Amino acid sequence: MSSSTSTQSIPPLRSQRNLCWKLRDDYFECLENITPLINNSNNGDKLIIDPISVQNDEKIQELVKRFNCWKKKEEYEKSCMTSWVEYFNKRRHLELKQRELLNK
Amino acid sequence: MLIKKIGNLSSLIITKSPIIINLVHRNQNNQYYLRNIRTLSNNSSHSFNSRIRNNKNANGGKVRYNNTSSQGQQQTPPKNVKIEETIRDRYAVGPATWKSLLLFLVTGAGLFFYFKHEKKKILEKRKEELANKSVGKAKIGGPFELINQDGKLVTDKDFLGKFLLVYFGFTHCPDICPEELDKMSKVTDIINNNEQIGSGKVIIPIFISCDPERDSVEVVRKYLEDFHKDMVGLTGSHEQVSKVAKSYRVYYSKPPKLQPGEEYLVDHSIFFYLMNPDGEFVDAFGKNLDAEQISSSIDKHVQDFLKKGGVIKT
Repeated sequence: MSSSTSTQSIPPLRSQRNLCWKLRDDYFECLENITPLINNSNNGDKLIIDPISVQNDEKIQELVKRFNCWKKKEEYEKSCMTSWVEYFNKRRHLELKQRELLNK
Repeated sequence: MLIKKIGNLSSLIITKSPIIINLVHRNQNNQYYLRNIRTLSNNSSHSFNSRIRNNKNANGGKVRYNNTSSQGQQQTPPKNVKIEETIRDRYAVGPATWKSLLLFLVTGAGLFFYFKHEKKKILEKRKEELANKSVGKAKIGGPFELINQDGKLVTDKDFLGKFLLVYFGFTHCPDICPEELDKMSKVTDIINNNEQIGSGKVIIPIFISCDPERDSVEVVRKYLEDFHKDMVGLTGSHEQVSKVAKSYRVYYSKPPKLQPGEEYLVDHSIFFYLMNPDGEFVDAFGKNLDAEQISSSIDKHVQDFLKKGGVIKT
């Protein structure tokens, strides 16, 4: 489900898609909830906790684990195709960036 | 009165113009004479004149006036000729006569009405052309040959007689294609339930895969089970798909340098294309419109089509 090595790749059907979307939304929501918690307890440096930064930054990964969103991340990545995870993460990253620009 | 005024104006122009002053002379009876050009160079101070009008006298013979004297003296012509020509000249108001003026007016009026009539004809023709022109001058769509979800080879001709809503996508699409296909299902139901024509089927939703390498007939059939039961799924060879995408001006691209078995997503333009029962392009709907907006727009197009005498197959 998360990756396919056969040439005949079967796409997820409706129920699987819906599950993937739900877990994605849960994970993103979790990240959004812990962002103010993390940033308030910091020395003033505003960290952007989005799926991309979680993937790349180890420090942020530690924080995410500490604040109990790591499990959601794993569930999400298990139920969605790899290409989809990448795509959703990129889109979320852009969305948060835009929101920040607008709020400035 | 008006004629006299025009005459006076023209006579004013004639007398005031310096060139004319030398050529045209007015005698004591307010008659105009054209100076004989031949003698002008020799003695312009002489009032050696010849008549503008014909020189016939009462007997029909030509009257020639020879002025042998100098300095303004004029030989008076015979009285009866003079009277006749005076009367005639009185009706010549400046350079115009009744006849020429009438001819001018008649010609002018004739030309005016002729042009008005022609212009009206052209405007009507143009209006008619616009009304009859089928919507969709954009060259979108065209003949295609693809394989449907039952493995059958179909062409664009198989779909004539019904409206088509065409969407290009691929089955491995993360969320946009499923959402758009759901929207398409909703639109199909709204339209087919509105228009009460025969069996009620006015529009057919069509999904065309732009990822034929992964979207085989089987895959497409399984994929469509999640959507409207009337939805047609089309796929084919790389060439067949590329041809139809080109005719619909659809952009799509795979990532370059793919490893075998590697996952990928196809980037593609997101539109619904509405085609009429004659196979002509009518309208395109973007992602930003919802099912209700698209349905009401399609409804209008269907009404327009039927009004112009179009036929939907039952």
